[in-house]
Amino acid sequence: MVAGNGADWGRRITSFRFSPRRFLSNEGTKEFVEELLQDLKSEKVTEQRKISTLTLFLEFPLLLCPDAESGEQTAEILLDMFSQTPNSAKFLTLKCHLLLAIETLLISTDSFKEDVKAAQELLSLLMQLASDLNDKKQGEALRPLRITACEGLRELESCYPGLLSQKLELLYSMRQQEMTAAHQSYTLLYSVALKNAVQLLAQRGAPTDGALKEMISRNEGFLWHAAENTRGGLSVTGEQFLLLPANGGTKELKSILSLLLEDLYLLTSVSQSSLLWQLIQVVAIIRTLSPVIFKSQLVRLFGTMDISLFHSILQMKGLFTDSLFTAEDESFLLKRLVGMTQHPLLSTPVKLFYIDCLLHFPENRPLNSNTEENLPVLLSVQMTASLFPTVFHDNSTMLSRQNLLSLVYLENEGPETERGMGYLSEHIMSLHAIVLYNTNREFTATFFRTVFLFVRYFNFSETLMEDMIQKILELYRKNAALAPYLINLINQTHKLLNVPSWSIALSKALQSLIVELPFQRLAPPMLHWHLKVLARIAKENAISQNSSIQLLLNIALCTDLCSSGDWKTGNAILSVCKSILRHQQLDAIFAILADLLQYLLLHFEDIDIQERARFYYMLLANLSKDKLTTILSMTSTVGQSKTKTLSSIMSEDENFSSLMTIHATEQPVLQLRRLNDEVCALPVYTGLLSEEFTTGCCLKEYYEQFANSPAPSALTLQYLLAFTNNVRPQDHKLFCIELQFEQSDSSYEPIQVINVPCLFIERQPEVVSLTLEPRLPCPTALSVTATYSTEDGATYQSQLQPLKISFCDIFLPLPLLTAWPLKAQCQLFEELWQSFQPDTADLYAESLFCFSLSQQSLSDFVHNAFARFVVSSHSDVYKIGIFLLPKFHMLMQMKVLDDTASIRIRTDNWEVLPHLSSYLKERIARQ
Amino acid sequence: MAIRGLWLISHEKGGIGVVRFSRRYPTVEKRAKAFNGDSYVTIPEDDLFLPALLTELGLTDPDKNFVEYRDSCSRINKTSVYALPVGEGNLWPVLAIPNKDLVYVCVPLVEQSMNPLPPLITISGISEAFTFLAGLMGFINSGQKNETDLCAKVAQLPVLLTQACPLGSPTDSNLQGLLDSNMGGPGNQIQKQPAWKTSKYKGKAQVKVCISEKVKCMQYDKRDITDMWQVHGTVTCKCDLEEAMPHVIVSLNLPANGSPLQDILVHPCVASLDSAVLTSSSVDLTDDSAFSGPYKFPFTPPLDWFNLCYYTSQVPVPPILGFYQLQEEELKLKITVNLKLHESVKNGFEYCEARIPFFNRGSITHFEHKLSYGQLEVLREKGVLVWVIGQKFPKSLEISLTGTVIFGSMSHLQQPSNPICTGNTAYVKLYFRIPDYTLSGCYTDQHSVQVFSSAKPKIITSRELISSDYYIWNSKASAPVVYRSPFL
Repeated sequence: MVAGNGADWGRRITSFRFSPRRFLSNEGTKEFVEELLQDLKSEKVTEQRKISTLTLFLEFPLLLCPDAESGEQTAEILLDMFSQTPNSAKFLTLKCHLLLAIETLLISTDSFKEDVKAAQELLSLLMQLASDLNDKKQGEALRPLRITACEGLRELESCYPGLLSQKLELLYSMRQQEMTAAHQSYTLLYSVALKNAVQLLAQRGAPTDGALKEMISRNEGFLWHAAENTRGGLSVTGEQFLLLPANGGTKELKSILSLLLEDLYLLTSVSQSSLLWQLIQVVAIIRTLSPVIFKSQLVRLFGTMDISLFHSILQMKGLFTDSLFTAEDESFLLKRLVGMTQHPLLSTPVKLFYIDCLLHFPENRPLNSNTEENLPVLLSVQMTASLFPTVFHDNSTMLSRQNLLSLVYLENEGPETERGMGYLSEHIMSLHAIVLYNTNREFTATFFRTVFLFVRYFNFSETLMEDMIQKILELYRKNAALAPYLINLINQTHKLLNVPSWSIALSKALQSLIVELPFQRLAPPMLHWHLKVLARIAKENAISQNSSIQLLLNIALCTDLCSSGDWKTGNAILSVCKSILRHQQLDAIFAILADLLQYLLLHFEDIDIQERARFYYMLLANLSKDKLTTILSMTSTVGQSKTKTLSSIMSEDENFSSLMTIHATEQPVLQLRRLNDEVCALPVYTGLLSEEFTTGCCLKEYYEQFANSPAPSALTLQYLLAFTNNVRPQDHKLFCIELQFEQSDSSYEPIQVINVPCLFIERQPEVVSLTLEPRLPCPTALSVTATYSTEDGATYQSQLQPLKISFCDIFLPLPLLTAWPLKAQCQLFEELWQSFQPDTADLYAESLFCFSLSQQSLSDFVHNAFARFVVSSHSDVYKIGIFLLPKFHMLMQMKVLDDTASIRIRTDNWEVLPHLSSYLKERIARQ
Repeated sequence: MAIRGLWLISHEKGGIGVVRFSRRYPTVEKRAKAFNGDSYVTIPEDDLFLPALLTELGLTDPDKNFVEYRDSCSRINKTSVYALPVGEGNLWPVLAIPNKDLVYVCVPLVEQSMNPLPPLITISGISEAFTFLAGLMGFINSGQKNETDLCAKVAQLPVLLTQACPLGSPTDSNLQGLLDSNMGGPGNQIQKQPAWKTSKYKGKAQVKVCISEKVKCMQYDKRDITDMWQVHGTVTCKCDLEEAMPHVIVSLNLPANGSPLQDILVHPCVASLDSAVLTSSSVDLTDDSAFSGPYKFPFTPPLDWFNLCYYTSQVPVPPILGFYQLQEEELKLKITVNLKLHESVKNGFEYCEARIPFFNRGSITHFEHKLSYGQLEVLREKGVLVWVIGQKFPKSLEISLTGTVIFGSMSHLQQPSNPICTGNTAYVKLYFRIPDYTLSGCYTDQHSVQVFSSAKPKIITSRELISSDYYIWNSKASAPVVYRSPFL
């Protein structure tokens, strides 16, 4: 017993029905089925609920019983239940549902086979129930059960054609004897069995003359494997197997068919059409059976108001054509059909169906036999005189009538046709008037569809097409928000016609309209629509875009568009530009487009728009048309392929992966050699100080120059960038060389990269200037990396030998003010020497360095070590003043005494002393 | 000829749909797989079926201006048959018929390959689907039009369908009849019983025949536009007879010189028909047929009211002729309405009134008028003038109304609007009913109804003329034209 009351259970069932798979994946199929079966067996559950449960098996058999085995088992359980339920009117509906559920389960799970016990049981049960003719045994109350059994047999026969083909005699006799209203089911059952039996016989080929008669009068067992030897599903169309028995062989069959047709009116209309369909097929297969049998029904069918009966007559027309319908009959039927399409008392969906039938009317002498719409030959302009669409019709009726009439007018000529076409145009104009004054979405969409149809059929008439364009322009002028409809119309008509001249003419006219609009009409939000339209027009390379771009330029220049910086507007303008770049020949509009893009990238107050404008500008200025198109065509794909194309465009090489990566070289390809420039650039200090040199204010002014001047405290070293030895041939030409410098410590400011455009091995090495900004004066080593491209487009990165900046490289002479004479240097030296007393500040230091040196070698030594820095050199005492960036000094006084050189050193930064001593030692070693 | 599935979907404006009822037929689905081969597409579960259907019908996103999928101009629906994109392909043919707030959906079996799509006329199950949905619609629409009633009816559907269409092949589309059925008669008759007669009648024998004619009219009062009017009639019948299979013959008569009845369509229970009855058709420009009655319809009646036949007729004049003039002067509207009853028409109405609506202008604040006959009612908020003419026209048969209408401020929310009536395009709509009269002159009486039955039944005949879409357009402005013939 399932927990939960009625409402709860109801909700579960509803959620199961809405999405069975999800329900079952949450709940588990087996458990749910168990639950359902328990419910069915339980006595406490109401009958209504049991019926609902059975309906679930009826509708979702494969989900509840996924395999043949479970299908069989469940069917057996239900069969048991059926036999145990008493035969009273109270359980009638339940028993009917049980029967149907069992049958559905067995058929759907493919378990309806001869060797399956449940199948055998079901079949015999159904036959047993059906055999109780005229309610003799079970009584009137259980008649619906009998009818259900017949329906069950009919469905079995439909699913397994030929199952009952050996019981035709029995079925016919049952049908004849049954007098109650249930005879309908027996008739339908017999008709299906008869048709399948005839089809089976035809497929087996060349039957003997008496085969038909024998078939009709046979009463044997069930033919379980009938359909297995034939193609699955005996289809209606496709190969028709025919039987051509001698005339005598069809006598019994003919009488059976006539009897069936006589009682046709006793059936409901759907059953009538179903029976007719089976009998039509039988007659179609048996060629010697004339369709004239149906003639008696024709008048009744011609005049029927019922759609399924009228459809039967159309089907007869299709299958039998002139065997049953003379030319007068055909014309009469066509007229009836046309009358039905406009009959005021038939519903709209039915009338639309009839118009469709009209366009697929089965003619006795058709001109072609495709499945598309064809106008029947007999359909004249007069016949369709009342089929004009009006604005009072619903959309589908308007469009289908317009479609039909267009086909009629294309096939016919004459004054009526002219007038008819004029009326069609007037209809479009009425719709146009409605759309002009309303924003009704339905009417708008219908109007554009009407235009589309009109253009499709009548694009040969220039006047009509021109009128149409004018009308559309009128709409757009009034309401620019119709832009999406217009763009859609242009796209669809473009695809439609072989020569898309109309859509181009419309685009041109729209362009003229938009570019002539006054500025008031070109403000957002309307502006966005106009730009959208212009972007679409820009795709037509038959249309010159000069005026469009001119308009954009004007609004950019003359309105506050750029200063307001609205991203949407900018984006819309750029879409137009992009369209132009992608689709147009750029020669004629190059200058003006470049102007526009340049203006945008300079003045539009939105970074993204500026960037994109710059991008387009660069593309425009640098790339050829093909490359432009290719790049811009890749918009919708993911970034990967875009970069793919970009690099392949640059090198015109398919092998993009190698182009993507930067390769590292093993050996250094380049080297930097110090250019020993005697005259190296000295930092220039511009001071605002006095011209006159007076001894007194020397030091003060000297220091002031550091404070006041904005000069960079940097020094420049020159190097030669050259190739190393053993360079590969592909590296003989290097491009876009970038030198990156990395320091191991932070004693210098970060060094800017140096760019060298190209370096060829056969040419001179390049001179590069390395600018150093020391924070502290000390030697250092820089690691240098060079990134460059070779001629084949690949990019390499090469590590150069580390660049040593030695201490002597950063020596600078004392920076004198430009106004001072050279002799001021001595004075400065003296004053500095005095001020560098060690006690006065922490950083000041004094040191003494001695080494052996002869008197003669002194001048050489000083010259080699401190050439540019000698301040004075008289009486064998050399005074050397060195300036170290950022603002430190080294002052030395050197003399030789007894073959020993002594250097008195004073500095305002004791940290330089170790470096100086290393330098001196190195210099000494070099002597 | 079978159905793969059936749905009843209710749809609120705003795109939310609910599946009220659904029924699938798995055995038919199995046959579909065999017939359609590679072109077979499974019917998805309801949770996928519903949104696909609503999208295809264009019922989603009602607030969005242009949605390419829904509004593209190349997407032209010429029938009620749709292809739903579901998963691996398109589910076709899906017959979907909207009716009031519900959508009735049915997918019939196609007994052939669907690649290429076969024309609808070759699909034997399509008309069955139409008929079945019509029966379902008739069942749902009978009775009260409220939510509780709808729920009750939907609850009855599962059991009804098990009777009417147990395994996918419909046997009966008259669901209402099945509900009322009480088993017909016992089984030992000499004659076969009709399958569509589901119960028996016990009581006084009577036969009622009613001819109801409707007249449509569009009058323009302009020289270059032809006025149009059309008459169509329905003959309904109810036979309360105790026999299982009585035979009845109803004859329709026309007066001398009456225009013949055209486009006659008969109920399936009509056993046979004289082909002369079918010769006259509105499709022909000139009517050559000499036949003008009596039109005999022999039939075996079902139990309840049923439509015996439909017809149309071309009468020489419309019953009420008139003109309407509306002109705008400063901020006021000056109107003149003139109506004249044709002398050949019976001057005896159950009701007759003219409604004069004003769209896109706001509510009426003031109406000065001069009336030659009848009474006037002003519905201010709705912007409508109602001229009640009453039970008869005066002796002169001509009446007129002139006046000036002044409107108040427009609050756009309440304003009655109409997309067609913009500017000075306006109409007067007439509502009237004339009992015991038909415009075509068609009548039937006690002598024209023959009943072959043991009891002598009482025969009650009646007829009426009702207006339907009877418009008189403002002749001083443009009006949408309805009927045009290239041959006039």
